[in-house]
Amino acid sequence: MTDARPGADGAAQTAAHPAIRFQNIGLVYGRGTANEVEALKDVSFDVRPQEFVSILGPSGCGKSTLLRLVAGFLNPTSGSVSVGGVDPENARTNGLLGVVFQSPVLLQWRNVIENVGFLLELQGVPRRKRQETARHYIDLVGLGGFERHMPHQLSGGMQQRVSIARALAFGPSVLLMDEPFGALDALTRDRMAFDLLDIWKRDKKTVLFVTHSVQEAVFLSDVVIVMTARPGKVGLIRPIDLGRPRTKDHRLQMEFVEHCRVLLDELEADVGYH
Amino acid sequence: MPVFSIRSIGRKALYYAPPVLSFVAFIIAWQLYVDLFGVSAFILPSPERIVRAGINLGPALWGHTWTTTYEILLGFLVGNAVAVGLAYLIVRWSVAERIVYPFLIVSQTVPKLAVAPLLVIWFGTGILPKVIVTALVCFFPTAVNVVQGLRSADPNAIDLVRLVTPSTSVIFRKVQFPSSIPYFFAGLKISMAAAVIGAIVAEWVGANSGLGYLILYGGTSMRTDLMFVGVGVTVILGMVLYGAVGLAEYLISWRRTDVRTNT
Ligand SMILES: Nc1ncnc2c1ncn2[C@@H]1O[C@H](COP(=O)(O)OP(=O)(O)O)[C@@H](O)[C@H]1O
Ligand SMILES: [Mg+2]
Repeated sequence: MTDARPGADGAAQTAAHPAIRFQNIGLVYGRGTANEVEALKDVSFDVRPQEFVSILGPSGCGKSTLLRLVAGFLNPTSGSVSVGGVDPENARTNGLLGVVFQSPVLLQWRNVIENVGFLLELQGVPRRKRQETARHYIDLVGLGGFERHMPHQLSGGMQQRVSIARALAFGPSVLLMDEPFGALDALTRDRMAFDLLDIWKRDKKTVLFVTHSVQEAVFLSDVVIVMTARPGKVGLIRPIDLGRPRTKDHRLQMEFVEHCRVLLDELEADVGYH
Repeated sequence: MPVFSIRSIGRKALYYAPPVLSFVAFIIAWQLYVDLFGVSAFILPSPERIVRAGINLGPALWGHTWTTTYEILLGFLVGNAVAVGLAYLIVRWSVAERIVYPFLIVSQTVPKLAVAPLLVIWFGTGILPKVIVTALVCFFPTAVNVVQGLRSADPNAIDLVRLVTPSTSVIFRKVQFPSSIPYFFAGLKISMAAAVIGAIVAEWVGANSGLGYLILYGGTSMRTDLMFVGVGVTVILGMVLYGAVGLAEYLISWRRTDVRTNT
């Protein structure tokens, strides 16, 4: 999918390596056991540097598995994954990867600033520097003033912001987000989408974003990938040629609606309801 | 701190008044029942008579209390140290789990009252057999809870650490260990309650000092009041020790509620 694509930016194309490359990935869980599951089959696609790519697909089609492969938490049964030209484990230990999960995954015994600085602490960044960085990202996600709050004192949306701040403070060039807004109410979700785009533009990150919302995917992305289930395969790769910065008006445009319709058709074709 | 405002003191008083008052009423009713119906002191001594028997024991009562306290604390310490060590092994190495769990279960199904005489044969009537029995009843609740606590760590949080380092000891220190703390205290509380019973029961088998000994002595010498003194002091001791664990939990643990635990 590195062929000419409307809206693709020149700088990214000259980069030596794709930010993420999946090459003929196959993944089988529980190989050789009675409950063998073929989670992914022959998945190939590239994500270019600083591209925002979303993945849509029915539950169980292997979206989380795909992200775990990028993070090197899992090794493919066949094929290969590379991140910025190196293998995932190398990329991970070089601090290239940030992860945001569906749930905030905050350490309950640490306050907000300690949670945001957690990964830096593990890296051995001195306390002063760590707090400074953490503060910056806490402000960025709109939680200034909540540094000393404990996770249980925050709403679900605020907790998820903390987890996004934590991922950003780590300074990764690739951000993996697994249904990060899934547990939020519609309004909060909407605001977070705008904030995420702001941050993405400012920090020049590559984002691989899993979501169940077709509208959200179209609104955020340069490219949307639809996966089909059992085994998980790439069904459709659709560049989203809407201008940037994205605004609320984009959602009212004919092109926006058309993108959504095509993606939805592909999704429904797989699930089998019409 | 608003803790000291008149209003908050009033609210606290209102909160504690019902249990305190009902306890006082219970004692008064007991006293009246014994006095009015002329119940024999052998069957049921009055609260007043029990308190007097306790005072008459004087320093001897302190001696008994101290003996039992010492046994409980030592057994509690040993039992829980072993429990935490075993829990760590079990979580760290699955082989350890298969080796240790059968012993864990056996240690719980063996009737403690039945092993106590054996321990007296082996170790005499000193403090050692009591400490062993106490440690035996102590360690199970803690071990089970700490195992569960260490396993309660969010796998995603572990992956988070792995973004920086694959070190299992860092994962343990930064995620698994802190995750287990509330479970640890839940186990400690059950363990402490069990420790008190363990020490008393162990003393019944062979001792010449301690609250359990006092209860047994009261029984064999027809001094029902002494039995009540022994039981009463045991109850107070148990509450104080349990409260101490609760206080430690309050001061140390990061979460005091909504942790599901095993007994
Ligand atoms: N650790 C695992 N062991 C066995 N099967 C798994 C494991 N994780 C996921 N699966 C299976 O692999 C498939 C894809 O899972 P997942 O990547 O979580 O899907 P998604 O995130 O798209 O919902 C599902 O059928 C799931 O049951
Ligand atoms: Mg998933």
